[in-house]
Amino acid sequence: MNTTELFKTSIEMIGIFVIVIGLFIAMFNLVQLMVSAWNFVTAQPTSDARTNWNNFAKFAPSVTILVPAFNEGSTICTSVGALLSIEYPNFEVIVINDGSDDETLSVLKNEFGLVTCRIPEIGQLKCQNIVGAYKSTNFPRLLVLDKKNGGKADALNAGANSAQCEYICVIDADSILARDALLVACRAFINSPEKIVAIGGAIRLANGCHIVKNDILRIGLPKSVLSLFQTIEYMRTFHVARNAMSNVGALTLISGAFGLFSKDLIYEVGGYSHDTVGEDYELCVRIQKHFCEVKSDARMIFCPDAICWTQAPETLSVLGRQRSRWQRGALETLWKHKGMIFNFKYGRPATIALLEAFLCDVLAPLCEFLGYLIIPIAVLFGLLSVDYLIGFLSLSIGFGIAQSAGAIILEEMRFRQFPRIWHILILLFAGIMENFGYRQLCGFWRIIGFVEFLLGKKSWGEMTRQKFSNSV
Amino acid sequence: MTHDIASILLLIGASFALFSTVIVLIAAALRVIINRKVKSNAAEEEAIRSKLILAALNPSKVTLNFGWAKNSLTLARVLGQVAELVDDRLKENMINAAAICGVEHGILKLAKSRNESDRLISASLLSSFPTLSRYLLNMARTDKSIIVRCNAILSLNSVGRALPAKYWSKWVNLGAANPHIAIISLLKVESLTSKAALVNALFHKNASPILKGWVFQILAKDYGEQIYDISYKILSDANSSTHIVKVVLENIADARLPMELHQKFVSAENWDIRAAYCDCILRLYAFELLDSLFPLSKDKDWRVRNKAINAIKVLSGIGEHKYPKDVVARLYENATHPDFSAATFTEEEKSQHDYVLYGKAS
Repeated sequence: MNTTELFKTSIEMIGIFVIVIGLFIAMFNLVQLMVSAWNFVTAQPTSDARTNWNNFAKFAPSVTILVPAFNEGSTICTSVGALLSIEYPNFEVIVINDGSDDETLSVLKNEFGLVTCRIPEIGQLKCQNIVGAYKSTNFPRLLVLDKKNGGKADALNAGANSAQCEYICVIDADSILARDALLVACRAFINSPEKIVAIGGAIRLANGCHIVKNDILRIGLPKSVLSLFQTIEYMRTFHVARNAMSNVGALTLISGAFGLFSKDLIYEVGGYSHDTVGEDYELCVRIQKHFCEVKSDARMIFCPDAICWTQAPETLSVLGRQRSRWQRGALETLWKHKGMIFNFKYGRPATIALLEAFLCDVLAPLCEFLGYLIIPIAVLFGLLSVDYLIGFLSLSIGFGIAQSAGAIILEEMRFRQFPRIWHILILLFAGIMENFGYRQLCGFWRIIGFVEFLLGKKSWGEMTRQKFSNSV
Repeated sequence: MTHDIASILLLIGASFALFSTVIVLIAAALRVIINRKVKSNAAEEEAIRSKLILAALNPSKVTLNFGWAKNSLTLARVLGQVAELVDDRLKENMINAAAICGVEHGILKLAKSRNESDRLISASLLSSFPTLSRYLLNMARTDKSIIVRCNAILSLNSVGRALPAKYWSKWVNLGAANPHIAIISLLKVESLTSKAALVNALFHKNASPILKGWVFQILAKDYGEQIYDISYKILSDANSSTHIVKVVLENIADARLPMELHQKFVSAENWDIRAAYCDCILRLYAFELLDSLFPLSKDKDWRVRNKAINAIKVLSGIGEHKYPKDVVARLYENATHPDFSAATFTEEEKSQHDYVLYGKAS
C-alpha cells in the first residue's frame, strides 16, 4: 500500500468514524425523545397553584435559597425581590456576594435596608472567609453574606454553611423563580422525603417575557435571533434530555440555575468542588457515585413543572464564553470521575448518562473538528462523494429538526406556555434555521472549550449581565 | 450502490424533517381550536357560576331551569370550585340545584380526569351523593395521587362508609412516606385491627418519620395509658428519629408522664430533643417539673442551656415578679450568677443566639 492509498484509507476511516458517532448520537437523542414523550403522555399533569397550596403548603419542608452573586448589580434586586415574594410557606434567602467589584452589595443594602449581623456558622464546608453578614430590617427571611472572591462553588459552600433549613435551593442571581416553583418541586420531597434527595427544575428563558414587579406577567419570545435559538435549545435540553434521563433513573445533572438538595446530602458529599467550572455537574455526578458506593436507594429527579426563568446571553461573545465554559466543565467532571464511565458498578448513571456525556462532550467535538478538517482535504484530493455528503447532511439536519419539533410538541402537550399560535410557528422556524449556522457555531465553541480544557484553563471568563428586558 | 445509500440517507433525513414539521403544524392548528374552546368554556363557567350562586341564595325563588348546563362536566367543576368557598347551607342548596340537572354524570367524569384538581373536586362532591360511594371507594383505593386518596377517604367517612381494614392497613404502609396520612386522624379508629395496623405502622422499618409522627398523634388521642408503653419503646429504640421522639414529647409530656420517660428525654443524645423537652415543659407551664430543668441548665450544648434557662426564668417568674426564695436558692445553686444569659454563654454562643432569635443585629 503506497502513501496515497494509505492517506485515502485514513480519510475514509475518519469519515466512517465521524458518521457512525454522529448517527449514534442522533439515535440516542431520538430514544430520549421517545422516553420523554411516553412520560409526558402517561404522567399526571401538575395541579394548579391553588390546589398545591391548599394540599401541600402545610407539609412543606423548610428551604434555604442560595443566590451566589458576582457582579450582578444590574439584576440582583429584581431577582431577590422575586425570591422574597414566592409562594412558599417556609423559606429563607441567602445572597452570597462573592467579592463583587461592582455595586452588587450596595444596591442590596439600599434596596432591602440591610444591617450588619453576626455570621451564622452551621456547616463545615470549605470556603473563603466571610467578611460580613447582613440582615434586612424589612425582610426577615433575607440574609446577605459578603465574602472574598472564590468562585461560584465557593460561594455556594459558604451559603450552605449558613443555611438553617432542611433543604437547599440553588439558583442563579440572574434568574426569576416562578412563584409556585418551589412548592411544585417540593411535592416530591413531601411525598417521598427519604427516597428523593435532590430535584432539578426546568429552566426557561426570560428574554422577551414581560416582567412586572419581579413576576413574569406575559410569556413571549425573544426578539433576538440568538436568544430564539437558545429558547428552542433549552426546550430540547429540559423537555427531552433531562426528563428522559430522570425517567430512566440516570440523571447526572441538576442545573445550577435551579436545583434543590437535601442539606444533609450536601454536607455528606462535601459540598461543591472548587476545581471545576462545571460545579453543578460535578456535584451531581459525585452524588450519584456516593449513592452507589453507600448502596443507597435515594434518587435525584427532574421536575419539569417547577420553572425558573433566566436570562440568555444576547451577544455572540458572551454566549461563546458560556458554551466553552460549559464544555470545559463537562470535560473536567468526566476526567475527574473517569473511573465511573462504562463502569457497571455505578449503575445507570454511569452506563447511560456518562456514556451520553462521553459521546456528546468528548467524541462529538472531536468528530466535528475532524469533520471540518477532512471535508476540505477530501474536496482537495477529490475523495469526497457529494452524494454521501448531501445524504449525511440531510440526515443530520433532519434529526435536528425532528428533535426540535419533538420538544415543541412536548411543550404543547404539557405546558402550553406560549400563548399565541405564531409563537409555535416561530419556534418551529427557529428549530429549522438553527441547523444552518447556529449548531455549527456551538460546535466551534465546544471545540474551543475542549482546547481550553487541554490547556488547563480554570477561569470562568467575564459574563456581562443586563437588566431583565421588558421589566417594570 | 453509493448513490443508493446516499439517496436513502437523504430520504430518511427529509422524511424526519417533513414529518416533524407537519406534526408541529397540526399542533399549532389544534391550538386554535383549544384557544377557542378555552374562551367559550370560560364564558360558560361564568354563567354557571352566577346561576349557581343565585340558586344557593334563593333556593325557593329561582326557577330550576337548568337548561343552561349542557355540559355536566363544566357544571361539576364550577360547583366544586364554588362549593368550597361557601358555608354548608349554601353548598347544600347549590348541590340540590345542580343535582336536578344531572351533575352526578359530570362528577363521575371528573373522577376519571387526568387532572388532579378535577379528581379532588370529584372526591369532595361525591360525599354529597351517598349512592355513588362505590366510586369514592374506588378512588380511595386506586387513585395515583395520595391527596385524592386522602380526600376520598375523608368523603367516604362523611357518608358513613369506611375503607375496609385490609385496604386501609395496606395503605398505611404503602403511603408510609406521605405526611398526608394525617387525615387518618380524622377517621374513626374503631376496630382493634385498625389500631394494630397503626401500631405496626409506627414500628414499620420503611415508614417515614413523618408518618410515624402522625400515627403517634392519632394513637396518643385514643390509646389511653398504653401510649406510655409505646412511647418507652420508641424512646428506647436507637433507630428512632429525632422527629418521632419530638412528636412523642409534644403529645404525651405532662405531669402524668412516668419519671423514666422524663429521664429518657433529659438524657437524650440529640440536643434537639433536650431543647424540645425544655420548650415542652415551658409550654405546659409545668411548675412541678421545674426540677428536671436544672440539669439541663448546665447542659453541654449552649442551645439546650438557653432553652432550659429561659424556661426556668419564665416558670419561676424572673423578670416579672419577685421570685420565691427557694427558687432563687436553686438558681444560685445551679449557676454562679443570677443573670444566667450573661453568665452561661460565651461571646461566640451569644452571637449565634442573636442570629437564631433573628433581628438582633450587633
